[in-house]
Amino acid sequence: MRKGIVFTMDAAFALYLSFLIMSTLIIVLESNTNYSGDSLSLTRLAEDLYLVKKYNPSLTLPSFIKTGSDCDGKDLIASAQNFVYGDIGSDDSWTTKSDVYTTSEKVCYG
Amino acid sequence: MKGQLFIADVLASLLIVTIIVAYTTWELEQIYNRTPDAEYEKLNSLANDIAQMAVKNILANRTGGLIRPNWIEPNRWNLLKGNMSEMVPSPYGYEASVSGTTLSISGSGGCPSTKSNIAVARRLVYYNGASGEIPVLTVKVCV
Repeated sequence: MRKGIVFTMDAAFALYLSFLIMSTLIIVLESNTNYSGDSLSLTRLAEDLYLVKKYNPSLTLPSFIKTGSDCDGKDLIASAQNFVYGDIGSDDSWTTKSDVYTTSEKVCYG
Repeated sequence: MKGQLFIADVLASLLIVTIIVAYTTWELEQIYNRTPDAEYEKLNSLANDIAQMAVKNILANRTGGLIRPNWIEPNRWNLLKGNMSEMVPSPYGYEASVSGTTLSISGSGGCPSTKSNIAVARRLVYYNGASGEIPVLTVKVCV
């Protein structure tokens, strides 16, 4: 076994591996945490947009939100899957069934 | 001295590293929990929760016993004030507005830009007579 100054070479290598694994784990966990909050907010905005447009399709988007192809190249993009109790159609007709509405439109921050 | 896989000093060094890393992580976690960043995360979560409750229930239009999410009713705006004063205790400040109209504001003057830690949640809403740009409900919580 080759001797280093303090540890043997394989001890130093084991230390290096330990630090490498732990730092990778910390970085992965940290980046996941950062995105989770923003993703939730954006998904809720996508759902909001779907509902508001259903009530009044003529309303225009506020400047902090972009949709569709304007989101190309953005890191954080969401679309909404709305689980709604009853139909909230613009004709105000309500039913008792549960519907899942899915919007394929991409939503992102402007 | 040989172990089965590693020699004894390797095992000792791994043990020492594990203890150092665990202790350092614990210390860093304690420090992080006292930082403005951690406080911001909590405020942000609170602001998002309040905004979610506001658009889905507190402010929502009720017709025929049914709730229309995101369709807010001006005659329910006062309800948000009472709810926010309970959900955001002192010394935290809060304010809620819809496209510039204040719905609710804490007695300490809300969350002006001079505050150091402000979390903001924005939600898209609709109300009767709204036209042009989609109205935005803004909920701010601050220290």
